[in-house]
Amino acid sequence: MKRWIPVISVLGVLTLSAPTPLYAAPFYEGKVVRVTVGFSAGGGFDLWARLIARHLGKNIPGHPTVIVENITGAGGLIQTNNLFKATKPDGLTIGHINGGLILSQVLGQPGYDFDSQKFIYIGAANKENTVFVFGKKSGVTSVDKWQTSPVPVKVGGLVTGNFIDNCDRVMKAVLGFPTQIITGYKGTADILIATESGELAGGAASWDGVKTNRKRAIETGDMFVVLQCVPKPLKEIPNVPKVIDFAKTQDQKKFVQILIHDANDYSRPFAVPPGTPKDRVEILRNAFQQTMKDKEFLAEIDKMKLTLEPTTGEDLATAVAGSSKLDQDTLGKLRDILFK
Amino acid sequence: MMLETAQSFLLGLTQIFTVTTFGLMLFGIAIGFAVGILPGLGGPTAMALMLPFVVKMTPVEAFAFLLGMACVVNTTGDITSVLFGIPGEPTTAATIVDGHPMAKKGEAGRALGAVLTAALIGSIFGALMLAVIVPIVRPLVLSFGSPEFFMLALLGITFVASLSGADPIKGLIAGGLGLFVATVGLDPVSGIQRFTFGQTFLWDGIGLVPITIGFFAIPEIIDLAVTGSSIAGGRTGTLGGVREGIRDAFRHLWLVLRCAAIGTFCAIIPGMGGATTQWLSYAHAVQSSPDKERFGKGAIEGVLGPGASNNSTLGGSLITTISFGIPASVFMAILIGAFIMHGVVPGPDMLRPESQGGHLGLTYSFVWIVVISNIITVGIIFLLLKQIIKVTTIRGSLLIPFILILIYLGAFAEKNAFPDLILVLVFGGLGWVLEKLKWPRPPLILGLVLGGLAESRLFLSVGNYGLSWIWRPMVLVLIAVTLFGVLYSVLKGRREKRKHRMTKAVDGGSENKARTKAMMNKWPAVFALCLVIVLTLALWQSRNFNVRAGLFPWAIGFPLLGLSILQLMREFRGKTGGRPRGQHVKDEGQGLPSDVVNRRTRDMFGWILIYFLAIWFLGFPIGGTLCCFIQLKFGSKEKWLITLILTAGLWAFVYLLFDRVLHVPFPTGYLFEVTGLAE
Repeated sequence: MKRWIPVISVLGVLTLSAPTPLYAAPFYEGKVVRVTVGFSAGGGFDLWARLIARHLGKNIPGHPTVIVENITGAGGLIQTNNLFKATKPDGLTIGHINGGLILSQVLGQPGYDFDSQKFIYIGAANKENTVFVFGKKSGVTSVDKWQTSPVPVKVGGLVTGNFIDNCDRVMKAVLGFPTQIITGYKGTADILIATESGELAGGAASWDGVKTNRKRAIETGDMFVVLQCVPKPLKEIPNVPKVIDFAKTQDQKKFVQILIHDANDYSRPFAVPPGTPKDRVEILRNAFQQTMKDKEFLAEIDKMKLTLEPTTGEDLATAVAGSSKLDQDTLGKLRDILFK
Repeated sequence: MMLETAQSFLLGLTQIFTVTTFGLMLFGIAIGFAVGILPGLGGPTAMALMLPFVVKMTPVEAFAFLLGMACVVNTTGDITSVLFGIPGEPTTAATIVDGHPMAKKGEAGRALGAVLTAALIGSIFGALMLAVIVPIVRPLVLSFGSPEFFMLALLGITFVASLSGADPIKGLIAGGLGLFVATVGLDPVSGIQRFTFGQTFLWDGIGLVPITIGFFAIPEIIDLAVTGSSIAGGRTGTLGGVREGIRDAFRHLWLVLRCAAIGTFCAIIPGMGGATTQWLSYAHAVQSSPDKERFGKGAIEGVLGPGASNNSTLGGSLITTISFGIPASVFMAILIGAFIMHGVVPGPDMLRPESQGGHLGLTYSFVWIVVISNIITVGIIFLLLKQIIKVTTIRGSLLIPFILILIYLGAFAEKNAFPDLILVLVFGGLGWVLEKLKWPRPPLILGLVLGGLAESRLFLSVGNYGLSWIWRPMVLVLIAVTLFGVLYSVLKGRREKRKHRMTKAVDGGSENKARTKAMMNKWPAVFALCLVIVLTLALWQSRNFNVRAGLFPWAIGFPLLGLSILQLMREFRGKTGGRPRGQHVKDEGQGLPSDVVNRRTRDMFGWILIYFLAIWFLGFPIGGTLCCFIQLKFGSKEKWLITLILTAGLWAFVYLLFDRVLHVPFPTGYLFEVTGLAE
């Protein structure tokens, strides 16, 4: 018996070290998962994509390497078109999409070669959560001052069809606030500076950016947050009025819902191309939600003073699907509001 | 307050001199060194790759690392520009115009000595400005609105005049073409597509990187192939040249400082970065020289100006980034990302001393990092310079495959977009034609970089103020400055022409002979005709634009069409001016029969196309490597050993470095896509 011991132990070691046929190796083991971003490195989309990419791998069975790729151009459209048409649906490429493109695609703008309803959504970590900020020089210190202003109030925009511009247009065209939209600024940082210098009265910007970049200006009363574009008040600014409060008619409520609330819900999604195998979608969706609770991930979020607001892939799909049920009449009106 | 500021300033210095911080800064410098030299690897790409490591560092360590990298990139980018005529970085393209002709004369050492010294002076100037200007920067920038930004862009555009050379009409047309090309893409206000031919990759307009690479690198590589020798063409410069270059920088110290100031102060303006300031500085160097004829043929001032400004730009860009959180470039955007990672918020807090809850010490540590890493970098390069310059004595046929791959890699890697390779071909062809027909190229680039800024700021000005923006005091001042600049250069030009005429009378008629020869050549007229046709078609296409989208293209297009028709008529009458400034002297034809020149040119164009097709069909690693092998073995008939070594080197460079290590998302070749062989 004794002389069998070495043989058995050798066999034992071999069995242990050999790839065991008893359970299949996870699909993602040894693989590289690419997260594509439609903007260059350094921006908000890139920041979040990289943040999530750093922690996603360890939450996927098999611990694949996760890398970020910037495929820039046309406000993220090139990357999104590419994700839809030219990416193998093997669960190894996830796109961090600019959710603002979804609405433009639904409204049939030219150049949008994807179908937002067919993307498979993995999850989202945050939302645009836009607020309207005004400078002291403008005199618009509250939403009433804006609504009752005798002259059109100048607010900044980026480019027609952008989420920021959509918010501006809802205020002007849907709710009838006296508003002059000056569009063509390169980013919300430029709008905020133009607000500080008095060139603009104010403009819309993401609350996440405003609360860190303009914290002091708001505290000292150099800038005022007068309105928030979300269905429920953000927790740091519970008393700031919401856009929906000013929607009186059924149509107004509907347009605010579609253009601001729904669009906000799917503003920062992660998605994989249609045709990706169901089991891999499940793995990625679970891993995404795991990442949202990951201690190291949360520590980084905390350090970076970002606001985490996770959405599941299923909820995203529902939010996007909402926009597919619109009738031709509504679509026409939406087109008039946003693009005319 | 003064005391606290001084304390922060010293605190900034002491923060750097810890072992880890200093070590990380050196590490950053090492990476930046490689990144700057390789055109395919932009600073932003490398920085983005480093971000995961940055998370784990303290703020000062992180910025020592990132800024160390940033400082080096422009300096080493200048090396590539001078030696090969390929912009090492998009911000170092202007160094090519006079730096590369110097390399071709065997004066690479002198050019590099000069550019490095200018770079060092420029970067220190920019850093000191950053330190000095910090307390007043916010009110300064906030006093500027869109109208002032527009006027500054316009002022920059008038610099086209001094880049135009002896034939102002050609210069104006080139500058106008640049402005016109800048309108390609989505109109900044209404989002209407202009001249995009339905291609999404053109929505953001035509990138500066493919244009500069095409414009300068393609003509240079053809030139190299035609001469059939090394870059220096057997002319040897001595290392004494380096010393001479350093002396040149001090000889023209006043110019270096002025250009450094242009770099820093222009970069403070949101929307202007190194890509613009280098050309403004170059224009200024030309403008302020009494002898403009030398430019484009290796004038040392043409190297010193952009060299100083592309490094001093960093200081200026940092000012805007730190105090407003507006990134002046992708690079600065990544820096802001790193700020956010560390919970540091760009804005007024950065300008407040630590005792008041600010980060002034951190801000001042940036100043020190910039100064120290530049001193280290320039020191290291000077030690290596002797070896680096030897590249210009290597046989051209051995360099060409590498340069070609770098051209395509450089075009691809900025946006990871394959269509940019097509733009390189198109603008490479155009650049070659312009060079052959003695048209100035720099005005086109200047128009391109300033066109977008001018258009968007003009619409913002009119949108915000109607027409009353013209009466803003600062705008009036800028209008006066612009008019003065234009008038001054017109008057100066006239005076010089008179002087020129007098000397020419003494000189004899050698130029007349050249003119007769040019008159017999039909190509200039053909090119002018092509311009007229293309512009007419473009304007015809723009008939559907609304007023917003059309105003700028029309305001430029119609006068441009007029000028082109004028030029066409001048060509028919054989009335063209002399050689423009900002243009290389062509001497590749000297001593070579014209049929050899034509054959070699044709062959090189063929190779450029073959590489492109191979990359498209087989992807970068396989297609590029295969072409390299075929070209070396069967094109230039090299020995087996050297062919195999170089091919293996190229493969390792493209596949191992870019594909495996850096994960650059190369497109799968068409063949693999169709057959489904792609992984």
